Amino acid sequence: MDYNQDQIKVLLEKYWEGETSLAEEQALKTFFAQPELPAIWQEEQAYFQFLQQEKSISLTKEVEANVLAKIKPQRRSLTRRSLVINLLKAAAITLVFWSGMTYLQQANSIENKILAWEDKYEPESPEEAYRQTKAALYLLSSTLNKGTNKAVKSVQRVQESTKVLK
Amino acid sequence: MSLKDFTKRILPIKDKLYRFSLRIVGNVAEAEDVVQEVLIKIWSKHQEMAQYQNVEAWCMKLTKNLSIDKLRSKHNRVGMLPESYELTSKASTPEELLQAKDTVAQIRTLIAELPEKQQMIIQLRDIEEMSYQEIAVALEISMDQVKTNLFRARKKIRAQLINTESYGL
Repeated sequence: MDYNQDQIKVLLEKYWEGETSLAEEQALKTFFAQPELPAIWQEEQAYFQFLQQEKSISLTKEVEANVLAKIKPQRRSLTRRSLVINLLKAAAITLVFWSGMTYLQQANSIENKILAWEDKYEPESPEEAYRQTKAALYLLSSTLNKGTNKAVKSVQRVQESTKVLK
Repeated sequence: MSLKDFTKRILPIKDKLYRFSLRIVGNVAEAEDVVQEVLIKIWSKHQEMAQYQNVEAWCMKLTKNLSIDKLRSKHNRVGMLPESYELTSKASTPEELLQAKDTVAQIRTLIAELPEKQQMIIQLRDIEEMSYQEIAVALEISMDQVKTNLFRARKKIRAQLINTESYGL
């Protein structure tokens, strides 16, 4: 919107009273940016031109370059760190999977041995059957514990490595 | 906030931060140090940036606090811009250039004589064209205080401008 001189007078009063909007203040700056204005506007023109000129003050390029130089290495090291953490996570998953597979293989081999033994052996009395069953269950339990302990130790080792990195 | 967002959203306001700091510390080298420190601090908090509604006002607040700290630690005078500081001027002849520099220096002195809060409000409203709400966030005061201080600052500036004999504008 273009303002005539009477409207500018009204706007100026509003400005000095601190009641103008940003758009009205911009209109005043535009008006006083004109090269040839009557002498009555001399002081206001000097002031509004000063406000505009102050906006031309700018920071040197070096400061921006310094900031970016300080920021970028941090960013690279963060990326490297997250890569190591991801690799450790993958290693932990592989270890847990491997421990599980080892345990299953051992359990299968015990089962096969029991089946083979059943084909060949026939207990002669209920007491002997009870003794043999007890021994077989004890063997299964101890093998199961070994497999579980291995898995727990592997997970603990991975947790310790992650703590060191943090 | 990624480095790309930082470059796109924060770096473009570096000149505003610099001018604001310069208004407070009154020294080019110190204002540059403040802005560098502010930008690095903003980046260190880039993961929290999403929670700030008005990032620019928040950056201005950081600039104000660090500038005031710097000013207090160095015991500098508020608002005294160094004479060596150059503006881009539209003056075409050496006489006009001289006169323009003189006028700028006089108005700068006039603003520098205002109380600290009023100087900051004139800088943020009349030069950086920020809303009352943004200024209130940046200066950590109420909007009513912003309006009252702006009114007082402009009243003093007007009185000084009218006194043409003193300032020779």
